[in-house]
Amino acid sequence: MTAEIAGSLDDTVTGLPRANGELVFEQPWESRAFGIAAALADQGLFSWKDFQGGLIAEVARRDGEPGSTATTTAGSARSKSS
Amino acid sequence: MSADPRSADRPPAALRAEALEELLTERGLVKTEVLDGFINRYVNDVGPLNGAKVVAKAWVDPDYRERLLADGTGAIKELGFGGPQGEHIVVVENTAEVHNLVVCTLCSCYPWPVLGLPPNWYKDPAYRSRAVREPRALLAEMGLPLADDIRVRVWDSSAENRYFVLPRRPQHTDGLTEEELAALVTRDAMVGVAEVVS
Repeated sequence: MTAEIAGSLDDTVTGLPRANGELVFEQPWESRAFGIAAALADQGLFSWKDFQGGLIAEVARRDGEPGSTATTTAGSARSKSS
Repeated sequence: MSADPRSADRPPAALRAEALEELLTERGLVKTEVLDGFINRYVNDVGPLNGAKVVAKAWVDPDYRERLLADGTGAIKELGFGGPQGEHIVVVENTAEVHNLVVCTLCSCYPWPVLGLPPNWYKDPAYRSRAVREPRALLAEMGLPLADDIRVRVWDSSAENRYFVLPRRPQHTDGLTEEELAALVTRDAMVGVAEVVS
């Protein structure tokens, strides 16, 4: 699927991405963290299921805390172990 | 109250994400253009409009509706929508008797090819727990009070199955084209927290 991807990053991507009138990412780092996880899984460094296992554990740990950073943490945990 | 021993002296998320990206790029594990491609794709190209087209087609084409309910991923692929998080899409149909609601209780599993990335409320702990514990109250708060005689089914999306709601076609839409119907379908209706109105 990588081959289908077109276009490159510009300011609008990390600026105010909206789908259906709503922000997809609240902060630029969220989009980077998403991109890292998606790209690594796409390249086969880990399966999405493995990533998800890390994400679920991190979400469980952080539920209830404001400003969750579960995605970044799960991403770093997974890439360290691969 | 916080039991997280790491939180006090951890750098902010933005710095950690940046450091992680830099490290992975340096080591050649991630190509910046691939990463940017994913972000672009899910910010600009893949979103609820895909799902809306699927719903509209199912409304006007009974054979397609049948295929969609039997094999969500396959029928969605017919319209050209596929990719990550779309491997096992299960389509559940709202009727006069049953209303379907989708949640991911453990994290944020979501059918990306038809809905794009999940909205923030979908990832919220309150939504994830209340959708299971008290779906009727939650739906009423989100603007969808359901009559008592309508059964609510709650579907917990996971790595195995990602659920997608086929909403009811609104009344008085007989004269509309497939495109016009698609324009009525909202993301919220395909998650099951709203109905489609004409």
